[in-house]
Amino acid sequence: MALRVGCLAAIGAPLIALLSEPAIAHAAALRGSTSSVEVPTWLFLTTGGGTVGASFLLASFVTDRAFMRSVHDWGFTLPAPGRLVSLGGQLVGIAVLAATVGIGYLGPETGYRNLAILVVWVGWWGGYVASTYLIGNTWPVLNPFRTVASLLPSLDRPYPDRLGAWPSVAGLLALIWIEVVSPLADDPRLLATTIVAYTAVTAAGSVVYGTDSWFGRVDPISRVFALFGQFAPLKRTDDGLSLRLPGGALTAPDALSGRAETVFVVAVLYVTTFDGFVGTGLWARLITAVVEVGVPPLVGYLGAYLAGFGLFVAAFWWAIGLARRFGRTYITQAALAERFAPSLVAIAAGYHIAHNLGFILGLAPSLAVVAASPLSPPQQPPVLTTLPGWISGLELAFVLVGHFIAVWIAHAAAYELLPGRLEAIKSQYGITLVMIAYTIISLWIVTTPTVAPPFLGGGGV
Amino acid sequence: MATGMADGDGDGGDSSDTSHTQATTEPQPETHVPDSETPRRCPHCGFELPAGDQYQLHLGLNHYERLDDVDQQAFRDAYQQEEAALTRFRIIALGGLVLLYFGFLLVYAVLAV
Repeated sequence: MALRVGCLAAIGAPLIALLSEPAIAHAAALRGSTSSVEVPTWLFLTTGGGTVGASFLLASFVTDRAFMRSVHDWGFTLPAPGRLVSLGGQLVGIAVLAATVGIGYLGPETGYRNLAILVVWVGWWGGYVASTYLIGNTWPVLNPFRTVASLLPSLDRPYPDRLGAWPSVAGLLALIWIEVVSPLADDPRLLATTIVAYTAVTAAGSVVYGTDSWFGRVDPISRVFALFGQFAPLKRTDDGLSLRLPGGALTAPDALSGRAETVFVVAVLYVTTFDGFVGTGLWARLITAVVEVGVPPLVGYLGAYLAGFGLFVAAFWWAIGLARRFGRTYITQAALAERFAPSLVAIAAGYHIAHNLGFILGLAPSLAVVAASPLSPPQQPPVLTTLPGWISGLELAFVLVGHFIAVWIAHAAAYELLPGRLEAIKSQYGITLVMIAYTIISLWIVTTPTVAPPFLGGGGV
Repeated sequence: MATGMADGDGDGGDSSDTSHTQATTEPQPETHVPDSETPRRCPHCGFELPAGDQYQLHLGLNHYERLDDVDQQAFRDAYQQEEAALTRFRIIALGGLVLLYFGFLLVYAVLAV
């Protein structure tokens, strides 16, 4: 977290100019002119929300089911990569894991000079995750934890079906909780130990349930990447690589199955939001006030974390309740949720890239230079301090594009489920309102100045 | 009250391929009917729907080839009626878009400096 704060502070001028109140929309910056337009923050945020509302109204003009299906079925099949490519991918994955753990222990103790920190947070959590939704999910091949686990014998005990995706939900919430409250982004030794512990857990799980069950059903990271891979244009199928429009696969009836998978999608959206939210000034003031009352800081963080998650799930559930009422259908709320939830994956992808783009570009030179000499990196690895102004515009555009695709996916789901065309439109009222609210929240988080979350004692950078 | 997973009919009798027809072999989503209501159950796939236009539309969209003339006509009527309601909705939606656009335009003209 503090690494991000440090970097963001360093990235400097255009971003800070953009973020400073009341300024926001630098319309002119896109044209390279020096004059710029300033609008109040609330207007900028409601414009974002209004755009999403407008996209719902526009989508409501498309009522031809045959046309919608032809859009979603558009695609090609490409030849699959051979065994050799897969083997190469596995070796690369293992090499990166070994280097990360090794340098994490042996390299410099300063976070921004240690390759492990840069590989995990800039290369992997920033860049690689983006590739899973922009290109395709390569994690099943690269996943070094899986490669390690596949070398071990397995008891192949049957995975209890009643657990479904719930362990993934709990695992994801736990992982992001650790990421937020511990100095995992600053302390290379701690990061390396965490990775070793994670390897041990996944290896143990695979020994008991088999690698396919563990990484296909339990492992939260694999599940996140599999979800993002559903959004991506390229997907591995039995016939080869299938090329589809982004988000096309999310309209399939079997994109999700079961209540737990639905909640998992909400969790993916929620954890990235919470990660951003703890870096805002509003949160700093809130938690400070709570701690002054006498609540231990960690309890305050945990309470807010879980309450926020409850709020997200409740808002989504409320939206689905409206869908059931306005859609005049007997389909259960759980079954409706299953079909509407995939739209949130597009929002999560858009938000992830908006949240991370400046961070990745700013620290990419550091990653390259430190990777060249991981054991004796320069005292101050290079950082891109001035990003062109249009980068921040691009970040905002990604938030909106994610929402546009989400509106379309919800629209398509409604038309697949409900026989009445008017009912299909009306069933989207709730989810559209939730999306508008989330657009406003996420645009606010992305553009509000980042501060170090108080009381966590990370502060390495 | 009645809760059930209605499977598609899957007897292969419905091989029509018009744009109105959905794949009837797909399992239908789970339904739950409130105690106070009496649903119509689709005779072809067992899916439960509110009686009236929703039921007629489901029959026509999913099982058009298997309907008799009366049901086909009922579907076409329901579809036509829906068209009229849709037109009304589109006018309102267009009005909403215009309001949204000019509303923001006005606010920006006043506030953006």
